[in-house]
Amino acid sequence: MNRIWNKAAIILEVLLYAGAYIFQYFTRKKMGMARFVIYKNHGWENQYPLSAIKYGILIVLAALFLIEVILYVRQKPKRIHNGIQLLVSAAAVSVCASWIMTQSTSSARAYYFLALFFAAAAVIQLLRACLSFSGGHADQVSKKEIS
Amino acid sequence: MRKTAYLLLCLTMAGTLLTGCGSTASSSASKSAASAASTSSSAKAASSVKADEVDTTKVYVSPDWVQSVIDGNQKESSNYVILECAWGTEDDDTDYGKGHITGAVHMNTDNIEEDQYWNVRTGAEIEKVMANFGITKDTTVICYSDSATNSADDRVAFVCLWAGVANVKCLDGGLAAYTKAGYTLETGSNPAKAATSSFGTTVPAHPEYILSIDTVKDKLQNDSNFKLVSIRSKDEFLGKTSGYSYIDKAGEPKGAIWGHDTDDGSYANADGTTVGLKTLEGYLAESGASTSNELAFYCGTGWRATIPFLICYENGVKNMAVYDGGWFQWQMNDELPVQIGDPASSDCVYTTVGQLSADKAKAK
Repeated sequence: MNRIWNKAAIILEVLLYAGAYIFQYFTRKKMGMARFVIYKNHGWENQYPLSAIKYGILIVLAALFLIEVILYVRQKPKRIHNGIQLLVSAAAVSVCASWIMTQSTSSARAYYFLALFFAAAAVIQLLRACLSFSGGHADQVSKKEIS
Repeated sequence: MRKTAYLLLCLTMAGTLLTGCGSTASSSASKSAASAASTSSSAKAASSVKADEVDTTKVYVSPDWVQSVIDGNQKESSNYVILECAWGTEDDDTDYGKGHITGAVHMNTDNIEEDQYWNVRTGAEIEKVMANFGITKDTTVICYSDSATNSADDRVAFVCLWAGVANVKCLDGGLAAYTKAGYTLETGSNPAKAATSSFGTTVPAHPEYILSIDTVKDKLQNDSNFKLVSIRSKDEFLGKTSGYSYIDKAGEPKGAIWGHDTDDGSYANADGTTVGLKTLEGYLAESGASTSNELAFYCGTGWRATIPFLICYENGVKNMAVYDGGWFQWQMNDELPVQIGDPASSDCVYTTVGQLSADKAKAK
């Protein structure tokens, strides 16, 4: 069961990155899409404390990544598979954090939408890795590898 | 191995996004114009077109006239700018990339519109845009877009007139008519050349061409000679759809009359040229209006409405304007009065924006 969830999570992550790319593409290419995005941007900026939400997302990502690192360090023996997991998590967090910190609606109209895509992908990756390091899936993988 | 491939895929996608979002019109403007120059020279050598002069106030001009300007056979040939008008940066404008009129510069409509209500930018901002594109009040500005029904060029032409440019033209029938006439296109990029002198008058020179939402509200209530003319589709006018993916509510300002749509070809002849004043007068007469009324054309966000404005302008009508905010700005205020249905019929419903359902966006 854990393996199914693990695969589903990987697929979801890939879909989120692909979705972000497609969303950005059509926001640049289609006027209606761009105006829809800008309309939503204005609405969200008026309705929600987006600046606080931005930093909240970054704090959550940092905390989850820290937990993942601690779980990885405590793990014995260390497996290559888990090291790759850690690297993927670091990449996902870096992509999301750099997007949130370096971009804005001025440089990318779909800034908020893409931040959501990246944050969702990063959170899924971090949770997947944490669950994997804390037992369940890692054990199953290792059993499969051994057999 | 699969994990490594997955990691690389994610990083590649993210990298593409991060680098892709940074490109702007300025980056495209730095492209070499070498290819443009090479192809245009052959086109120019093959063509020496002459066409009858047209009045300064004439807006819609033939492909022959445009070519004659390019070939140096009009008085306008000494000081003109050709604008290929479309939404989006030059990099994202596939039409411009495929081929454009010799010397044409891409004009992104975002240059002239702010992004809250999509209204025309402030006078100071437009003056800067004009300077960046080498336009002064004495420059002849020739606008075109891909087809007769695309109103991007009409929108830009309208803004130029509003700003104070005296001689503004639209290629009648768009690029389709130009190529149909047998003229060749060039490829490559033509960067805008900044003006070397000031615009020459206060921008806007004609603020009366644009009516604000407050003025329209006031006139609808207090001026019986005022006619607010919807240049939208019948379904938009009847409140069946907003006509836009990003507008949830449908309807029209209370008191509006229908002036037919430009997107459906109602303002284009069979050959793609723009209809004359008589056709517009016919549309107005359907609702009991005429050019003797004070007219304010509007649409969703201000593009389509500029076509009847320009038709009036080139025919010497003086008492017309564009309500720039259109339905988009109107439906943002819950208090404003709205009509749903044909006001000439008894089943027209009068309500307010706040009472409208929010499920009328056009399907994406």
